[in-house]
Amino acid sequence: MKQVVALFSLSLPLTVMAAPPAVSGESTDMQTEEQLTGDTISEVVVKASRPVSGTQSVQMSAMEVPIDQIMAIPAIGGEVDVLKAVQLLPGVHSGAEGSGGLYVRGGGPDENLVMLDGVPLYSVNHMLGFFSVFNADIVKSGTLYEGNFPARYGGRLSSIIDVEQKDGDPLGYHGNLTIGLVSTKLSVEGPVYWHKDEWRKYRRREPVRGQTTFTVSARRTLYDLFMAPLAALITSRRSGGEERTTAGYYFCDINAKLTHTFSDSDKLSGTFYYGDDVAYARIRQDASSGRSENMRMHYNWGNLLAAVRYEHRFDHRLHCNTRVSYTRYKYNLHLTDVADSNRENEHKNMEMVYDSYIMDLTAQTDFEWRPGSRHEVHFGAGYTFHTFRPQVGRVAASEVTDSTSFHQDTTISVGGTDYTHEANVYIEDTYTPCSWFKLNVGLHAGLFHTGRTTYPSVEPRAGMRFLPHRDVAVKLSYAYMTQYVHMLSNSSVSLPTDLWVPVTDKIPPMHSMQVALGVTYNICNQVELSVEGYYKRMINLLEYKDGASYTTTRNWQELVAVGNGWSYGVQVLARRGVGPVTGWIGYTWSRTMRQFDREGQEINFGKPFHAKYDREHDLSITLQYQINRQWNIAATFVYATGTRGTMPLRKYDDMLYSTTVGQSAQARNIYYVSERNNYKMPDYHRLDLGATCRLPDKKHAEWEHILHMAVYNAYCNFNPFLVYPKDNKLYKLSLLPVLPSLSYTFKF
Amino acid sequence: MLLSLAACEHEIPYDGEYQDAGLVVQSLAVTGSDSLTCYIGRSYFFLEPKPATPEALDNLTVTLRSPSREYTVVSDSVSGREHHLRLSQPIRAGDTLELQVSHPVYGTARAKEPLLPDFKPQILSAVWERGSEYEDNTYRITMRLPDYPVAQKEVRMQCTTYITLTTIRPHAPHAGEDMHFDHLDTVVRSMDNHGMQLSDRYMSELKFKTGYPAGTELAWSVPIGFLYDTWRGEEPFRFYDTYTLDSCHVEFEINSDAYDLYTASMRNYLELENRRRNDNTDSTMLYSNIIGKEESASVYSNIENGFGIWMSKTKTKIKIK
Repeated sequence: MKQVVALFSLSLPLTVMAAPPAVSGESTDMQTEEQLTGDTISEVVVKASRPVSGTQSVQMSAMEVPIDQIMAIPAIGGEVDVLKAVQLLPGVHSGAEGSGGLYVRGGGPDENLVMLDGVPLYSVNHMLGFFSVFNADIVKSGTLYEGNFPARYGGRLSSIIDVEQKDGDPLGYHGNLTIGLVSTKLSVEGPVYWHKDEWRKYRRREPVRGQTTFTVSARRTLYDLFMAPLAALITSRRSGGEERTTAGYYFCDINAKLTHTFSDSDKLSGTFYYGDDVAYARIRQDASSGRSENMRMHYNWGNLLAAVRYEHRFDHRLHCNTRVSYTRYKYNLHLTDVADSNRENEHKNMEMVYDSYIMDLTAQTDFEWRPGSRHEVHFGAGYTFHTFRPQVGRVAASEVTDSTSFHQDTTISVGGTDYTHEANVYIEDTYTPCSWFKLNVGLHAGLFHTGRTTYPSVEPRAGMRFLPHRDVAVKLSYAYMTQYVHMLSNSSVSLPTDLWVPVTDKIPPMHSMQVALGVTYNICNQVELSVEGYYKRMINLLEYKDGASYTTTRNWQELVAVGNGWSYGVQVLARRGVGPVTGWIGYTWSRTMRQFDREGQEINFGKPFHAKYDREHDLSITLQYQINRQWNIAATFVYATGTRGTMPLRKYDDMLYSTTVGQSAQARNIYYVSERNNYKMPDYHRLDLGATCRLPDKKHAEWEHILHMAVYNAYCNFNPFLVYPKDNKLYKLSLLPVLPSLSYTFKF
Repeated sequence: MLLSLAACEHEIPYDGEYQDAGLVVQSLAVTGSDSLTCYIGRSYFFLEPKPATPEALDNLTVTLRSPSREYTVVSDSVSGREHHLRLSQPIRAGDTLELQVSHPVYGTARAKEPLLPDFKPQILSAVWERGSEYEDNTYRITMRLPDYPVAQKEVRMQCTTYITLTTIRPHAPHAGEDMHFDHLDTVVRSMDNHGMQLSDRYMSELKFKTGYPAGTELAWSVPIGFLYDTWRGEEPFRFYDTYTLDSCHVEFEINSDAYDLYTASMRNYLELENRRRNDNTDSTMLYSNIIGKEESASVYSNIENGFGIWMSKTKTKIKIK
């Protein structure tokens, strides 16, 4: 499953006519009679009003994430984030305050396939979900599919988010240096000139198109560089020099892409990503009593991704894209504690190592074929070798005194290492028999082998578009999806300890069937209005049983129940991408329910219950106004029905149970839960404001100084992160009050 | 930034539906018994203070109804929150009993409990199987399971076999001599006749994990050992040749669905409560859906307009000899 990149062939007369503009999801191949060479003209600037093109495409339930608009959206700490912008689209609910979880059309956070240049990433969050792994500076485009999934995609039930990295400018070097309250980042892109002549031309400021381009971007939080030494100084002073504590947290990302164009027909690219979150602490105690202790803790989690892609164009009808990739998510905890006591001649040493990872090796090839003007065929195949290692720990402890000696080294493995194989083939055809009707039919077939069991899947896909009027489209779609992996999580925020596990001999794959019906109206090529209704049925979902947590030592398969769910709703989206005022207004009304009534796996005694993220209303308004060339202001308003939780609303004395176990009647206080997720938290709403000022450099015209100011949660609404009773009163815990931020970007 | 990430706590009003106090009724009906104990109290809203020992409720009316039989509460002896009812007749298996408790303030709570019918298997054989030693004899009973209206789920039945034996010994036992039967002491009761009565029971649990298999043959063996242990230091007296079986009956005890659901949910609830207490986390059961916390455990209730449980057990006695 990955994107097929169409290679464009564009030969220009000065007047571009005849072909319709390129639209989202479609490629355009324009052939003209007259060709102009580079000697005739020095520069051509192509301008077009971009039509909001949902009426043309058969694709529905998909939205392109507008990168240019994202850059102006006010964000936490000024850190612009692609996934935070996706949370503002209709049909997508966010998790808890600040979290990066995506709950798309009733699905859970593990039901989203998030990819960077076609390679899946298993953990897409930094800092417990406050920020995503996507550095907006290197993102070229992003597309969200909530339904009507093209047949080339599979493996997740609820959404596909395909983020593509920039290739690099072949004509010159550019970059950004951003210093913000959260992180500092540097991005550079440009050509790689292999010949001296190319360098000379570039230095003479002649346009030279490099065959090889690169983008590199690095990002790191700098906060700990200040706070860690400060913490050490404070603890040292407080303890009179006997104790020194250093602690900190940071995250970092490195993105790189190298692209080489051999010819109009061949292109080779390599993508690399490394990201890490690190929390560390060191406590050193040197007591005057002669006892010393040195404790170190290092906790890190992150992704590593590498891919090589080769694109070949056989002719203007047939393209091929082959990719080999590696992706890995791991987390690791390393704790050491060394203590010495001179008086007792005692030496203690303890070391604990705990790690977990998931790793994929994938080979995938995709073809795009246009046998005629009415057909566009995509087909391909792929194979993935998965390695799941949920939890392995080692504890080594030793103690030596004058009289005793003790040593123990124990390896604890919960769940073992699972090697699984996944293969897929697909084919889809978009057929346009006439201008008012378009049909897309596809089939995605897969095989997943684990343990002693092989799970086949056959996933039909279909979509239709009717065009009763050139500006009005009616669309209908059906998609069947299968998912072979689950994420076990106990919390409402993204934690590094969230575990990815495969299906097993006992736990079957999840399936979903979704139908959608929608109408899209293109208003004067300025605004696109779409209304879409959907119904989704999910099978073999997992939920923890009552009282279960994967942090116990029991096998996780014993802790979960398998059941079903369903979700339905209506989404409205009004979007404008041209003009001085751009942005969108999205509203979703939805219901999401679960039912676990299989024998021995009942939750809520087999009765239906609300899903945790069943949020009936969700409204997002994101608007930007380009005042002039220098100033841009933006505002985002979000309103959503509160998430759900389980709250025991009654308490009473139980007196009977003790008699059933042979004891006399005794009263036990019981907190009574009428059903799971019975309590709705207070509604969530906030307003973010932002302003961007762009100032050209006085000496260098191509340089720019950008000041981005933002206020997150401008009217300081204390949105609930948790709600809990205490001392017979109800309290909420809020995390993010009003957060002003400032960042400076130097663009060159 | 650090300060902004520090959590802040605010009291909030409860904006959900206020939950009025309701009656809490808990009772277990056992077939064959003409008495019934009901534990009756009231519930408290979770934000309402609850006394450590809530007072018993006055002015309660407890009634028991069945479409097929008249059960009149002859007497209601109250001790705190315990109501001991004496009924006009024993509770019959197969009846559907409706328990209703009324209070002028907390309203009327009721529940219906369909009692399982008597369990009457066909006894196919009951045979002594003598072992090589006096300790390893067995009484093997084979039965065919009847049709029985249990749901297709894990089914448990408690089966207690009562056996009365008379042993004939070659000499009269001395008073105070112990006879062991299945590791339980029995004492010589009478020296008048040339024998003594041994009476004991053997309990076993029948489990059907994949559903109740009606029509299947089922057999179990009651181990019986004879050990004559004298204080005079003589060798154990092997008298397994000299006994007769006086009587044997089997009592089956089957819990209703409500019973199983309630006890399973309570076990789960208490296990979670203990685990939280041992983990030094807040042991109140009020937390859920937050970082690192498990889902809450629900306690099963079938009381309409109230809380608690109305459940039953069906006991059936089958005489084999």
